[in-house]
Amino acid sequence: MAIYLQFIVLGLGLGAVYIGLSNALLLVYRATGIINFAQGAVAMWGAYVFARLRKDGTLVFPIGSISFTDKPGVPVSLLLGLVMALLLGLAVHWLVFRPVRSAPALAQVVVSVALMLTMQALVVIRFGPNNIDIESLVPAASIAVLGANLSVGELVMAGVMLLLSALVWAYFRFTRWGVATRAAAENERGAMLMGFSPNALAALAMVMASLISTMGVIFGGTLTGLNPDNYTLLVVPALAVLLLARMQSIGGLAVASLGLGAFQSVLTLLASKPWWPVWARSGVEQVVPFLVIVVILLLFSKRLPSRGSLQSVRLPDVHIPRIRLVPAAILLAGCIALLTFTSGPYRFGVTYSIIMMLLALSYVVVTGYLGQISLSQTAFAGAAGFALSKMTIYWSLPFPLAILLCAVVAGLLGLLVAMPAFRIRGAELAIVTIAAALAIERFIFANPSFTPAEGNPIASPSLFGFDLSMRSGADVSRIEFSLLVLAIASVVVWAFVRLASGETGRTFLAVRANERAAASVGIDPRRTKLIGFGLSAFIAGIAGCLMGYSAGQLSSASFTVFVGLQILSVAYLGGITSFGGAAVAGFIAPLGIIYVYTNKILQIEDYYALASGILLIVTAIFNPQGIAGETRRQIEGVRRRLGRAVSSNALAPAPNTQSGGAHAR
Amino acid sequence: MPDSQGLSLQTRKLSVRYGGVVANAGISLSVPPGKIVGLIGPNGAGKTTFVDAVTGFAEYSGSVSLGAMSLDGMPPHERRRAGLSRTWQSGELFGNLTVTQNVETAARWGGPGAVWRDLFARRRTAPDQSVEQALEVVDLLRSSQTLARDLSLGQQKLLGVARALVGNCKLLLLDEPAAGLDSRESLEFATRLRQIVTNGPGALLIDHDMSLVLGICDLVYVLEFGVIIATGTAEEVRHNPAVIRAYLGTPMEAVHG
Repeated sequence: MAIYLQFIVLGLGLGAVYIGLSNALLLVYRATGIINFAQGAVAMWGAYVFARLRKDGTLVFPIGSISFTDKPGVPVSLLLGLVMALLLGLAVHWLVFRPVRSAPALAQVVVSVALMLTMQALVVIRFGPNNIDIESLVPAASIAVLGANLSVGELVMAGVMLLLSALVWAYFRFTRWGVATRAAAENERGAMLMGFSPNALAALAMVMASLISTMGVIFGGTLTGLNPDNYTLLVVPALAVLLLARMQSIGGLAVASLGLGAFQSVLTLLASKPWWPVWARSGVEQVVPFLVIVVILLLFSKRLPSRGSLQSVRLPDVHIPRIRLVPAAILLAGCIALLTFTSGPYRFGVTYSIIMMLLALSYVVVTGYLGQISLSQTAFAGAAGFALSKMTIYWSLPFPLAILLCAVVAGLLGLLVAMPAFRIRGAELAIVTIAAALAIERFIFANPSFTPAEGNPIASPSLFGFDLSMRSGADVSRIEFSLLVLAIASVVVWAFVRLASGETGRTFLAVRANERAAASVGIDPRRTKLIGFGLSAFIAGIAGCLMGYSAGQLSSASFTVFVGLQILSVAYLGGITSFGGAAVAGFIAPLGIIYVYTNKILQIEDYYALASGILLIVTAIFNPQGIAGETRRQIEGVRRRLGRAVSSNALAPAPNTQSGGAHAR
Repeated sequence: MPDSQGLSLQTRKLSVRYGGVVANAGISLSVPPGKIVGLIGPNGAGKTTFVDAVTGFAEYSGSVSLGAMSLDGMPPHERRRAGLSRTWQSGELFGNLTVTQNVETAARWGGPGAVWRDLFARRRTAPDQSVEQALEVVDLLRSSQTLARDLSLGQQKLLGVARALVGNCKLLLLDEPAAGLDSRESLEFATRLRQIVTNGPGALLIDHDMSLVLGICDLVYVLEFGVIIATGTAEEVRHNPAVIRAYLGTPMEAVHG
């Protein structure tokens, strides 16, 4: 029994981090209505600043740094770390969240995801990708209670975070700003009439959020060390806590945080017991928050308080694509030429771009057309790739059949993920899908029982004895494989255009625009979502299989949540509503041709993530149509001017304003 | 356009509660085919709640049937497919779609079969007859390629009606279709509605425009605080003392005038 008590207390350390993050999430949500997926990533910065100051006396800024000759003491370092967190909070408010305060949920989710990628990339650039130690603020002593050796550090951390949490509670309860923030959560106009600027309230909340979450991470870092990936993703269990507390009660946050932390800690103890199945040891701590989130959202979604705000901006427009033979042939010929005249890593880049285009296209289907935010597309791709490995190695299933079957597997997984979308939408759906992706990643892809350390091997594709594999001897990118990818992609794009321009696309757009109205004309919203998620996951599955074939084996690194978020960001950057957007996304995607090319010349791998994050923030705020949409707008503008210029001669055929997707670039 | 015969709508003791508030208390009414029935009442009387309940958007107790078929327990889209159409007070069009596409959503509902057809069936080049007819009835054929959100308010209302009429429409529920129309448009609308109904489905008309409701309805129900307080022809209702009281003592002649 004593050992359980010991592990419960150890879990309180993690609980302390959750208290910080979940209070921060609540503060930001109350003040702006935005679920800040970047909270973990933002909170890391101040903790890293503190750690570096204590390590070698360097004060690191996003650009530049100051080295102190005398290493500052703990109080000064902590103060500097918190000041940095405060400034970061202000910057995040003014530059990122203020512009999208009244934007649709999709833009808000995309912006906060973009911020998350940006901060994570920035931390990697400025502090390195590896785990670093952080000096402990609390004593490492232990006390004996009931025969158990309880660690004092965790108890102190939990105590301090509870105290800070109580301050947040007091802010909402007793200060005029806090009360006004609560009022603004109900009705923004009301708060404005009370004489409060929702903007100033939001800035204040963002700063407090930054401070309390940074404090949590500084504590948590002393237990585990700081690591850019882990702390960025700690936002997922913190979101589970937020939902457990029904997005309202600060007392609830505290109880749920400590409870979840303790539960996860005890779970790791149980998972080490001999009777615990070996295959269920990896990632179980990620499965728990996911289950919590699903259960809460499914049971209580209708009773979760929503936030009344003034919505103004529309979702990006959709232009119905058409298959136009000439542009399609030109595009295809261009791709073939590009593949023929490149070789080695460049041909690999072009090939990978085509595959990434397919993955981006799966976002176009589910997000652009159906209007549902899914952050689990790489999990679908990964599931298909994973199935491909098993099917080709163990069952020796031949190539075209295997890829089809695996895409169906991904499609079925998509149907499963569509179920929560029956009840919830917007940011809540994003929470479920990111938690699902994380659970699948840790529990399946990164599970040594399912995925050996050297990766899952995949048999080379061949058709009628004709070798279609990616590599052969010294040739790392054979033209046969590249053409195969192009052929498959062409079929998928053709199918996409047929569906998007047909009844299916129209039904999706109707559901995206207005679910109630769609139901009132006879459209079944649930079945439509099932079809949309299924199709989208099917496309992602094909992309996943091609990724698998191109590498010859699968590792969990190809399908992490971060890869998924990065593809979402390039898809949004390219234009989330069109094939043209997906094509742009493919070109600029990680490992795509632009990436390979710039990397060869500039070696900017780390800066790629940073640049794509920042560009995404800018896109989501200023140009939600993406690159493809903006290009189309420009082309139409030019055509209209040209059309007007020559129309007097009656020579010009009417300019076709509904240009096909293939034409969009 | 509805070339089929309409069906009668029956509600029995239909009640709707929102928390502790009773929005509809035991409403029983019927709308026969080929007739226009009005439902009027002061603001907050529960008119829209009634439409929401009948079409499956609000939970209710009591029963709703269309012809011989009970609709209880059906989700909204199944009620529409069974022939019960509605328009919305706030339009609720698909702003991002063209006029034609808006109507098409109500003629073809997607589904696995549609995925197959989209992929492999030959595209029809001629526009759908029923869609064109519905647009012709409301005189929107000329704007068929306009985006719905670019239409004028009056045209948006008419598009809502066209969307409700297309395909299988046995009965029409019109939630304030004339709100926002000027008096000439309102008159035109009344003429169109009369033509539509004469050829098939009955209509339940909810409106604040007294001249419209009392001018064209064959039968009028008056709702106050969720209860039917009077039933009768326009003439009978206009002189009913309870109705006059409900409208703050305003004689109905004045409202009518």
